[in-house]
Amino acid sequence: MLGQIAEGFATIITPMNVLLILAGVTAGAILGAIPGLTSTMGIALVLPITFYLEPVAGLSMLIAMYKGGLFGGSVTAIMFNAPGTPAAAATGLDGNPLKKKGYPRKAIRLALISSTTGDLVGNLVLIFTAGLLASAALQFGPTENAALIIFALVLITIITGNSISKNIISVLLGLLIATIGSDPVTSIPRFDFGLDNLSGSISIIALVIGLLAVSEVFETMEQHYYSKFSKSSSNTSEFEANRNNQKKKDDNITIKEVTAVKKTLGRSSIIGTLIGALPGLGPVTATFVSYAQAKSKSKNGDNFGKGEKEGIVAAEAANSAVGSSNLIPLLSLGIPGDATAAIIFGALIIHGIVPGPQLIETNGPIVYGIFAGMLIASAFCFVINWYASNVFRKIAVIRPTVLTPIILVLCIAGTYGYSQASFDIIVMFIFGVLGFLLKKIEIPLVGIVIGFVLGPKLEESFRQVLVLSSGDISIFFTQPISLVLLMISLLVIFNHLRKTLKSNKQIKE
Amino acid sequence: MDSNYFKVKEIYIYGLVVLLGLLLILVVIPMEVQKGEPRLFPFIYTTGLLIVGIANLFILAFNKNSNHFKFNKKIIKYVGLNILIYTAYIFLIQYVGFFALSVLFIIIQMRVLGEGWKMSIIISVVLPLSIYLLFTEILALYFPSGVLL
Repeated sequence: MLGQIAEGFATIITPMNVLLILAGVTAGAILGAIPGLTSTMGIALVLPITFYLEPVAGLSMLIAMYKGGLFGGSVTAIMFNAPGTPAAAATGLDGNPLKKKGYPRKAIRLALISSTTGDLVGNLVLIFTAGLLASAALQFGPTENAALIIFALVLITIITGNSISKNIISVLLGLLIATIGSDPVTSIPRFDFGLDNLSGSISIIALVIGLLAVSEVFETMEQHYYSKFSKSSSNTSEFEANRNNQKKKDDNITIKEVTAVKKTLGRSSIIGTLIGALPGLGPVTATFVSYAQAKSKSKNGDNFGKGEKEGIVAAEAANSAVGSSNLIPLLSLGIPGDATAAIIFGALIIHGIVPGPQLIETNGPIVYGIFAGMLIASAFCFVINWYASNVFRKIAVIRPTVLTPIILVLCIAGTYGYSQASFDIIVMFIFGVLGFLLKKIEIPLVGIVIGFVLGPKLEESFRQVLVLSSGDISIFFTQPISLVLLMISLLVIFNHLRKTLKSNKQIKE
Repeated sequence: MDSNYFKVKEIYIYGLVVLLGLLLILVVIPMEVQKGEPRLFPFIYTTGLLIVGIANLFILAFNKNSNHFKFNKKIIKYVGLNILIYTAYIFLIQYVGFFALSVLFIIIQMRVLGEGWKMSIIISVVLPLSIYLLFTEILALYFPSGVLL
């Protein structure tokens, strides 16, 4: 196999191919960094161009664009708490607080190291064990998918905020919003209030940008006015301090800091790879499961959400690992795991390559060329963003009076650009105001986003289970994988209750 | 000092959650969702909201030291003004056009926030123009054009 990989590198390393990969990573990073514009959109736009290129060059460029976009989305999550992709919301949970403490470059470079590691693990697993993992992934039917989503929601409920009640409300609101639009099984419209625009579903981009980016801008405005009107208050001085970066040499990541998070880095990369190999579950499930795991295992669990380095590592390593491993079911079984994988599937078909178990036998040199291209794309992504973090450090100190209108206009451009529908701009605005109000009363917004993303898959899988089992939900307890997942969910709940009771007792004493 | 602030008690929040749950279960779901399976999950989620809301209402009703949230009236007024400007931008964009309205929005918003004229004018021209060119010329996406560009 090593010989075939070497051959793959020999195929891909030509000046033109390298230039195309570089262009892919750069364009993906730019698109990913604009909230609303995703690398998936970029890939879709570039897809026709790849028809005129060699298969290895064209597909490597597409995958490079995807990788660039994944990290681009995390950069805006760290800098402005405006995640370019829903999965990047987990990176923003600790990345943005660390940036606010004056360490934007440290946050970005740590995220970059985590992203590259996760990506590398995902790539290596894809190259060496794709067939094996894909067979295991086939064991996941609707019962197991529903159980895994329940497990993910339980973890999210426990980790996202300080109050369990508010976390539950947050996740339930997200799940409820996800029911707006057509029913996932019968396609009958629900909660459309006679509006055609609501008969499909709420645009995920409008929801994410509104809830996370626009609400954050309103909050920045509020802090700006606090700063303006009450210069002597402690709140003001903290906000002013947050706008100043720490010294450049302190705002960097050290080997010691990376070594300290190596366990989380490894664990999160593996979690991301395994969940990414399951078709349809995607990076959101992976990042939040990984984040919750890291929080429960960490000695600094209480610091999660306040700029904890392990939080950034957990989210980012898992997010990027999914980026590679979601190609496992595509290449091994011909099952695209998400929208991007579906576009890459289309690109393969355009070039006469049929993904499936026989892929490596029939198109070995091309597949290994693409694998080599993926590794080169990871390397480019690392180098470009490592140096770009110096520029991001400078952006971090832009005055809110300049930055807030810029972000608000970008939010509109991104939302409209994604769907080309004026209605989505209004939806984004409504979620922006809602997000601002919910933040004030400490209801975590991330729970809403996750509930919204996982809701349709949960309902679809659950109702498929009901159909398959003739309405008998005991099937969840007779299938080994779902039983294990549900047992772990229960254990997590009991463990959390035990910890809460213990800490309440200590406070009383 | 306290006259500058208004307070929202935590119990009101859960009261609102219960009201929302009741409204959904009694009015919205029966009106907006066809009977049968499509109602199953909206009912499950709403029941969850009701349970959490009612449980917390009971807990807080017997807790004298319940939490509350304070809002500075003056600050909220200024943030409200900015939100109002953004609202106008959102609703007028399809009638006026992205480029022209974005120029106007950025100037007004930056001035209201306290930014100087020079920076406001530079940003208001450079940003919408860059976005407009990126979207329409490179990505082949279109913006609402309205009566102006």
